[in-house]
Amino acid sequence: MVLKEASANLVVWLLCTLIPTLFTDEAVHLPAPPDLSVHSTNMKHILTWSPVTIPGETVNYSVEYQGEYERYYTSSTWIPSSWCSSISTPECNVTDDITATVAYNFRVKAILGSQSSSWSTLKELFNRNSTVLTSPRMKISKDGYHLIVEFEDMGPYFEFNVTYWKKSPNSQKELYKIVREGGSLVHLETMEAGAEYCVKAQTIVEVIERSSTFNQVECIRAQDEFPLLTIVLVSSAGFVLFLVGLPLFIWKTSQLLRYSCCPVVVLPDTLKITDSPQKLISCKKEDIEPCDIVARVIYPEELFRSWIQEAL
Amino acid sequence: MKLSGFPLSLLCATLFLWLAHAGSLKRCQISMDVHQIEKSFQGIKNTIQTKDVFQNVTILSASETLFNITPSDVCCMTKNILGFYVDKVFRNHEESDPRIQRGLSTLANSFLRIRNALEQCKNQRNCDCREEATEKFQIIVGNYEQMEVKAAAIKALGELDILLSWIIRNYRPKAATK
Repeated sequence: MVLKEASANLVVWLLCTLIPTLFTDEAVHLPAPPDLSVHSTNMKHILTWSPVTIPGETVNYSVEYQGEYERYYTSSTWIPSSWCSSISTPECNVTDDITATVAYNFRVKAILGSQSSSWSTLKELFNRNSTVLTSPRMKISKDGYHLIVEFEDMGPYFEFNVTYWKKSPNSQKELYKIVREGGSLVHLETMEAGAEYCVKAQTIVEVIERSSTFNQVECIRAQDEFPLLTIVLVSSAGFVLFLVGLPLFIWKTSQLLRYSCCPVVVLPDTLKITDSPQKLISCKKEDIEPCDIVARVIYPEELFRSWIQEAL
Repeated sequence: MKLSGFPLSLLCATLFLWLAHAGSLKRCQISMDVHQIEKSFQGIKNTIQTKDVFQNVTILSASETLFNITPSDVCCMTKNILGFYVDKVFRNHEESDPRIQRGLSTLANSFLRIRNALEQCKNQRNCDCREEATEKFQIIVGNYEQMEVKAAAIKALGELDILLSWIIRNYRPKAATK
């Protein structure tokens, strides 16, 4: 009796293990993807796992997630990941899935044709408040006397806490400013001429109530009111102008003096006589029109010439 | 000697009452992912509100319950309503569209987080419920239970825009003015 039962059980067990294998096309055992983990830096979360390799085949993966709500209030519903319902690489950017500051679980299965592996889950649940926050990359510059700061765009979760001060031997009063978003130039302070200012910053992520460490302090000096180079250039230019301008001035002044005390009278061209004095007016007897008496100015040399001619 | 003890104890009592009153004016500071909550709701709003066929009914009844509330009752009311949504409303709605599932998951998990944060709030006294606040909350529960379960869940989800803007106004006034 007992033997009969035992043998019946054995037969049933054998059937149960062998029948499923008869229905599978391939005798390939598809293992669940191992070593699931989430790496998170600056609120960007990447799920990775070790690949499942089947020689000659491309294995795809499917990712699902659940938050604390699904785990405790809905008898473990799983939701398909936003971007990774069928991917061929063993990693998935799950930033768009982790949308609340609660503990999330992920599960991944391998797919080969119509065959799926069992699900792998995370060993440790992931909460985004464990993300690694790095100190921000910052660029400080000056626009005239304005101290300008710029941060890279890190997304909507990030604000920047900026601390800055004017370097002075006595005391350094620290000033603070919250920059609400990166990717744009922000005016910090109008600097005093010649003073040096220093700036440092950290990121603040309010949704997880955490902030990064401060970055390296960077300092910048405001321009002097009358920079030395400008003074030198201006004075050199002035000296050159002086050297060129002085002779001109002297010449002009001497001309002025000459005109004012010993002016030279110069006859304008319109009154000069170019022809001989005799031919100026031809007054022939045949002409009806009588000639008027004309008073003519004679130069001394012309007078002398006319005497000579008359004498000859 | 007994008489000198009396003024001292009176002073202590006055001081205690004054501290308690001053404490109640402070609200629990909680971090809230306003950006994600608004983005998620906007993504599902049209689909959910289209499914709500009962136009003349309201569950939140905001003018009776939310808008006339005293500042000291805000914490209690927020905690109760969020708990109500997490325990009842989200559970009673079945959704097969993964896009809507994701949006509802974000809202449910966010509400869970805020509700837990309010419960853990250090100044517990500030989040105690007075009778008036409890009565107003019961109006909401009553409205919900009068409707058929699935229709009630859809309507309550559709009215999330009213609830969210009220919560954001109270806990993130800067975000509300953006």
